[in-house]
Amino acid sequence: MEENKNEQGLSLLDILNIIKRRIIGIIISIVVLMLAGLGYAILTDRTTYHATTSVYVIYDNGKADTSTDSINYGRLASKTIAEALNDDKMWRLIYNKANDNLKNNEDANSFVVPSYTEIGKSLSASYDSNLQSLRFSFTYSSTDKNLIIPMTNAVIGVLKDLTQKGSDEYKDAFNCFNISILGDTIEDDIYETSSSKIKTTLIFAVVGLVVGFIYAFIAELLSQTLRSKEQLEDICDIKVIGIIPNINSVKKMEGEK
Amino acid sequence: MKRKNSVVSREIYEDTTSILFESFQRLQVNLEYASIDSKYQVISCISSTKGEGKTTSLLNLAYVYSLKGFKVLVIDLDLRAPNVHHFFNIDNSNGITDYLVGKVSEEEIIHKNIKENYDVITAGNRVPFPAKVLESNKIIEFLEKLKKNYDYIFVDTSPFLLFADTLIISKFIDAFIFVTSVNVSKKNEIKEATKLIKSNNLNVVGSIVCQVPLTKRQNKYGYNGY
Repeated sequence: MEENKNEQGLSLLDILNIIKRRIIGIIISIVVLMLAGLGYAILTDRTTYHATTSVYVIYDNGKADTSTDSINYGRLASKTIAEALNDDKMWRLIYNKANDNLKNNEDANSFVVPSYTEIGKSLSASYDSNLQSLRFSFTYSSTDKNLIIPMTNAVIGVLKDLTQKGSDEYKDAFNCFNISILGDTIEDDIYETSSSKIKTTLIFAVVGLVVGFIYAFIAELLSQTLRSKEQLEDICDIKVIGIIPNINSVKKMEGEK
Repeated sequence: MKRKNSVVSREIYEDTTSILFESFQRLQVNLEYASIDSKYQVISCISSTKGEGKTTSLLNLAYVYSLKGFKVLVIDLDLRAPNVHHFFNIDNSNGITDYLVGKVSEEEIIHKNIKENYDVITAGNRVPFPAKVLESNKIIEFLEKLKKNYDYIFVDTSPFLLFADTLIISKFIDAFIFVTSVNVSKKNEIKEATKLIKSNNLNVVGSIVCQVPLTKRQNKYGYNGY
């Protein structure tokens, strides 16, 4: 019981001493888990490809100026379209149309179109008051590189159709503004990202550190080695009549003076 | 588990201003207090196993006594792994075993004035049955003779849990000091040794804890600081 009492009252110095004594075990734990993390990162590494396609459209309020009215009109158009693009019904619409587009594309027959929510989350609309233009963009990410271009083309094709032909479902968004396509860009550069090996390794290193600390404290708890005068007094009823300091700490101290 | 041979340095701390010397001086004072009622003339340090600082403590304690003007003799009765001669770099070819088997005279085995008031008898040549040698009456007679010439006799002995030598020599030891060492001694071995001490009725007057790390406070207010 006495012993437990002492062990519960761990001071910061005790903790540092435990870490100092078990440092090799802690380092081994970190290194092993880091290597495991690196191995895991290498084995599960999958490159993800990304491509962004944008459609620039210009709206016409009949005034073609930069007056406040005109700017507000543009903002309204942007807001209305952005809201429409946030609507999952719109996502389903785009999904269905893109699916149809892809079905007609012989090269893309084998592709599986991503879910409508996946499409929806990749859509965005932004408004530029200076240019009085809107930009729809669709960024698509996939581990299948071949899917990227047909997919972005299919989706942006739907957006272009909606812009030009309007939509029964989204009259407010596409039919109430005089919108004409200014141009579109399909960014040829497909960029790729890999799951970060460094990040995974570091996460495993942190786990290793935690495991190392747990090991250190359990090992210390189970250790039979005498750690202090108090422990000796707890386990043995012989009176302590002498304490001889550690020669290294004495030499260190005397060297400092 | 394999244990390091020794973590305690083999040296006599002669610098009287050092903390280590001061620690042994305090041990000597405490021992004096412990022997107010009955004077302990033959003193030995025991430890559960090897490498806990038994010999270093014994020799340094003897040194403190010698500096106080007492005539001191150290006898190495650790016949299993004699060590005392290493501390003083002295010849171990003629030691107590050689005297007990009659090869040399008692005069030839005493290394006189290794330090002032500090004589040493080394263990001597290895004998096949150390326990037999320690059980002989000759050693008791020899010790009785030595007690007349010295104020204090310090006897080094084998680790307590490993060999029965300590129990054999306990008949002529007045006081034992139980030596332990932080980060070396094992709690289960200490418990076992304590049981053995009790069951054999050894007169253990106190214990020493060696290798205690100095705290920051002790560092700051170390004796050299005054």
